[in-house]
Amino acid sequence: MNDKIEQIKAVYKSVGMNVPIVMASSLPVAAFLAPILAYTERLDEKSINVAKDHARKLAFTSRKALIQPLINQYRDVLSYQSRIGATSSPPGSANTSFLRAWRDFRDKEPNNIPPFIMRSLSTFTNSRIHSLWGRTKAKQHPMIWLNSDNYLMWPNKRFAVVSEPPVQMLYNNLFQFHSTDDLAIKWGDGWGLALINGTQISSRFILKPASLTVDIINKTVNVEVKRALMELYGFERWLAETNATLLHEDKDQDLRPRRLWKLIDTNESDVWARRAQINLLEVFNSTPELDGHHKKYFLSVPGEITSVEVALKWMLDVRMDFDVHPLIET
Amino acid sequence: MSENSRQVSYRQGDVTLVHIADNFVAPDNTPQKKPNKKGQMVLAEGEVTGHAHVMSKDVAKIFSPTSYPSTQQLLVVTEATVNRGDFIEGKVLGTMPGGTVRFKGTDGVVIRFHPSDIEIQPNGVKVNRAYAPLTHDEHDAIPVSPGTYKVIQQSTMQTRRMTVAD
Repeated sequence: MNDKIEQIKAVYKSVGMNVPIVMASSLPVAAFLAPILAYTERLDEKSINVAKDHARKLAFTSRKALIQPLINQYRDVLSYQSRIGATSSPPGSANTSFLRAWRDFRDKEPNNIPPFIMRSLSTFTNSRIHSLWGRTKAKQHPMIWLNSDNYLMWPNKRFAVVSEPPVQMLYNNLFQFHSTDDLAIKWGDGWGLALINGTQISSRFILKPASLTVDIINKTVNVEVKRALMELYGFERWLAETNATLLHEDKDQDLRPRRLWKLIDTNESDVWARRAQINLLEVFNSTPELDGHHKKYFLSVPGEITSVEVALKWMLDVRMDFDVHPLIET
Repeated sequence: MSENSRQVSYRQGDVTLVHIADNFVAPDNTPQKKPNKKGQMVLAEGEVTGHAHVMSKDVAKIFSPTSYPSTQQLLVVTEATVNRGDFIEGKVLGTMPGGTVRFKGTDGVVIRFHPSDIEIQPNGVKVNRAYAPLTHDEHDAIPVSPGTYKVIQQSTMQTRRMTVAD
């Protein structure tokens, strides 16, 4: 770590600058620390420590949704680097070479705070932080940057925030972050992310497996998360425990099965129970993964629907005479 | 612009494009979407993955007519980026059971063609239909011909209709 700090100081020195290098214990701490420091007028040791404490509290108590865009970008960059086994920046990413980063912000305005951090924190309920962001003048220029050793940093005219790298990163054979036993990405301060085949899920389902229930899976709105939870729970196990019955089955354009499952057994005479019934349409992604398999998704449709074709038309909100079979489907 | 059962449509994940006209001029006050900072027109974006269905802003415009529900938009593809007769260098990855062809260009993008769209040749394909690609990180790209399309994002239901969230 000391070598890393010396490297960063050397780059600042090469452009005639000497700024505090502030270490953050994990990704979310760094994400909150950078904007806090941007507003902090005096960057002496005491002020920096106060800022770090505040950032840590925010990181461990705030909703992950606030920094979700940052997590997505970090995850994509790490996955790309793993797949290509190289340390170069992926095309189209916000990463720049170390030296170019310094030239960029030397020529532009200070306080290069990633715009998605600003957007995320603008919804935070802590009035003090909200006020802080309202007064921070930051150029809308993403400077999130990941070097070859997986240190995340924000170079800035007045300071640099460097996040410690993760102490654990677990992958599947497609180089997607994946673990069913532990947090797939974990930092030394305990903060981490749970991912199943590259899709982030709540950490509690990994750390406390008994907390994942059929009811939670069925009520999950996001189809990617629902799919990941189904993979973690096991489709056969889910099938057995929900008493789901197969209503209808057909095949898609590429002859993969599409199945409509009835989820809730209702008293047919109870119209209100029928209204609460949800059926699940099981479909496959038409684009194969790198290893050739096709992801399976479960899409919720009203309980009164009894055929796959009608379910597709309902989801597209089209008339019954509409042809739901596309010319090309991916 | 009336729907009928024989319109050409394409589907990429949870987004369906239905061709409704060859030429279309939106009324002046129709809300128009702006491109993102990368110069892309975003049809839909995954809230968890961050991956989006995109086209180049140079060839696509997206409108949100007030008469449309929130899950629908209007896409106008103004011109093609690949023209009829063009040769694209790359490799055919395979033919799907339904007959569509997966092709990977030298730019690394995998695109799915209808068999009538291309003539397979050594080291690439000759294009029979002008198009601009609709791309997504987790789905093969789709070649979309110039024209006007209704963009429909799939809805699911938990206790009410919601746009598919991914």
